[in-house]
Amino acid sequence: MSKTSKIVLWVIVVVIVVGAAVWFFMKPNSAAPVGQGAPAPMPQAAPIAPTAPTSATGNMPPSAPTGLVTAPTDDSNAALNQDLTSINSQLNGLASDSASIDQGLNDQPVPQGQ
Amino acid sequence: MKNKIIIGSCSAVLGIVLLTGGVFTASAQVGTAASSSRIAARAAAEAQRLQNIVNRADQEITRRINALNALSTRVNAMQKVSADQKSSLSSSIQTQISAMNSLQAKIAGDANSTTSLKADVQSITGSYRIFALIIPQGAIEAAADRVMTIASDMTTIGTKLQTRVTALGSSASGAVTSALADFNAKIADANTQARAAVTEVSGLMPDQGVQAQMQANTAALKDARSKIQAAEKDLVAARSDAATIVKALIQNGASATTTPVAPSSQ
Repeated sequence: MSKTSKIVLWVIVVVIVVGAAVWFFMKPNSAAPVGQGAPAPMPQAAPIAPTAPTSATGNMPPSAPTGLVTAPTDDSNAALNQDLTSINSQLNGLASDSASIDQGLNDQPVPQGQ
Repeated sequence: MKNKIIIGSCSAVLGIVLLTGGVFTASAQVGTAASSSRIAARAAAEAQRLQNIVNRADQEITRRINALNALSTRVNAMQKVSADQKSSLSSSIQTQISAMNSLQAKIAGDANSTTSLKADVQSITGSYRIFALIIPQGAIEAAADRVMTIASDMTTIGTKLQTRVTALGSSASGAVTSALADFNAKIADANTQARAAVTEVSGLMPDQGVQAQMQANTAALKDARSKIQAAEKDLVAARSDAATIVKALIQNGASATTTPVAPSSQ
């Protein structure tokens, strides 16, 4: 091989090495480790599941037991019927209280996953 | 001739180098811009993710505060507990509300710290047990209070029914006397169940992550819940007995033993 050919060959080798080095250091994602692709999309938070509608305003029956409205000694038919109507109302309140217990015991919190 | 070849080759190589360098430089600039864009997008996605966690935690805490406020209102309406007991319950609920408000503020400030945010969010359910203990515990006590209130009113009605049935004398049917006996038994059992339910839950404390205590609390709450359900069934049955008796009295044409008086507020 002639001296000229050797010089040309060396110049080409140097150019290739320098070009490779430039390409390696200037390529996109140079901060990322070699072999690592584009970053995976970050998981987005799941939509918030609707919660029990009653919880927004509270789940306790607001009204207190009212008691009977007739006189304790009034045992007329009308008074007795009125008393039973009052008991019906209070039993409805008790049913609401029971529902409140169940809501607390059965509550499922919204997942707070990362 | 040799010199010309050398000069020509070097010029060609130099041209290639310059051309390649230009391409590399342009490519690098485009790559750098794309890389910066991706980094910014990742940061934005991470910030959004943390904000979503904060928002969900905020909703969960708000849900608990609303439930606690409703429980506080219900506790204030309780009738069969002493003023001291009512005050103690209300104070306990207010303490929980304050703790929830503090936690809500802390989580709002955690948006830049994944570690503390995660710990604080987990504490919503792990440390405070609002829905797992506080709400059902208070609701059971409120329900028991209502059971005892209804039972008290029914006892008053029972006295009236007893008076009317006694006035019937021997004309009172066996069905009526049987219904009255069942009425009284159901009221007595409802009171027993309600008191037992209160006794069972009144001393429960948050488990602070201790699994055994959490299971014991849950078991106690469920058992007390079953007692409230039994009391509720008792009262419904007693109500049915009372209706049977009143219907029989009306059909019998029996009159009241007392003159009706104007209703009084109680």
